[in-house]
Amino acid sequence: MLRTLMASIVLVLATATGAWTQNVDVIKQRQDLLEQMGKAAKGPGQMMKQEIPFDEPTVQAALDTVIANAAKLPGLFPEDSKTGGETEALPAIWENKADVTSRYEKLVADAKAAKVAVSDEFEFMETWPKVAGNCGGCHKKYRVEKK
Amino acid sequence: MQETSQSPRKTSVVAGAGPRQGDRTVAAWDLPTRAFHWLLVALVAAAWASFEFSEALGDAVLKWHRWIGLMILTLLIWRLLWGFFGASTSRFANFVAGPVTLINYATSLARGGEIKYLGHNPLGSLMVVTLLGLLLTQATLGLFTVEHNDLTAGPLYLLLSEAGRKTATQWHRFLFESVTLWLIAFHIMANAFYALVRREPLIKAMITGRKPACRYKDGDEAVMARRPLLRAGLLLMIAAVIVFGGIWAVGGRFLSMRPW
Repeated sequence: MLRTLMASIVLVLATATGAWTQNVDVIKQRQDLLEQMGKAAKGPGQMMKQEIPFDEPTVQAALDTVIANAAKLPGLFPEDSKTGGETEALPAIWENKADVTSRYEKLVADAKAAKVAVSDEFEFMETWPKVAGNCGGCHKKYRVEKK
Repeated sequence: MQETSQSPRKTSVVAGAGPRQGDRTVAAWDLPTRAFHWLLVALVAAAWASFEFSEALGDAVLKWHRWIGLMILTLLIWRLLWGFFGASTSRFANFVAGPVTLINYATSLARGGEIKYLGHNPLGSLMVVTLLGLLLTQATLGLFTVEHNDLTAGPLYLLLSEAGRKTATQWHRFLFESVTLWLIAFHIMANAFYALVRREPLIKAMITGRKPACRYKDGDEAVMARRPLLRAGLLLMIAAVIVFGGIWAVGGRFLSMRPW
């Protein structure tokens, strides 16, 4: 009876500390990269909605951020980073690693292709959705739904 | 209570029982109302699909979804107008029911011998008014909604603050997924129940426009509007002016909407 109780307590403590030993560093890293991409996309989003005038340097900078960050992200979802650090990553990511990786690769490819296709406003309006469209596609499946 | 036929053209009318084979039918729903109903079904399904599968459709700016939404809004405004100028069974004055009528009808239904209505029965009226209200709200919220990737927005999004847009966007999603969809499912099941269990061919009637002749509480036959197609066409144009003109009048901007 006492041994069962001790075993249970040890088990509970082990599980609890297991959560705390989740790789919060890598969680913070990927959150920063993703937030950076979100911030970078703000300017082009305003241009899409014609809230601000088209400005190619801003778009190019955004694309560079996407290319750099999206290339790093596939490697920032190790097995021990599923919980903790206020992550919004859904378990589905680890069940569909291949799909997640290919989505990041597509994002990089689309952004690279866009770099030569945003020299004027009309081209930008056609091309930017091909890049930014990737964001929502991934969020739908792999990010906690924001209430 | 049975009535024997007076002339060869009239068949006998038996109150309370289901229709027999070969009984005469009467007009129940006019063509514009029926066309409206099934067009709305198709458009709501298309609105859902054009959002859900936007990635597969290659429509990141939700061009189709937004056009379909505006068509739904126009159609709904048309239905409101038709509720004053359409056939007798389409007019709100003839079917919107108060609580007493509702309770009377519900009790009669529960007892298995429900009062027969030519147009919407009181419970059906409640459903119709609720669905129309929900879809109107849904389409209106869409006017203020911002697309997830910030690529586009409804034509009136600038009229709200950043916080207001966020709320409108959240409600636009939530309302359909959590409320309207369920009510639509219930609406379909209720009509199936009437058709299969209560032997009242409601779904067939919304297609053919005719119901078996019977002693209906709200009139034996629908009174059609004069020149229904011309009337419907005119009101459709007025509805379009109200929607598109209204949006333009308050300073709305249509973004990335070119169909080609």
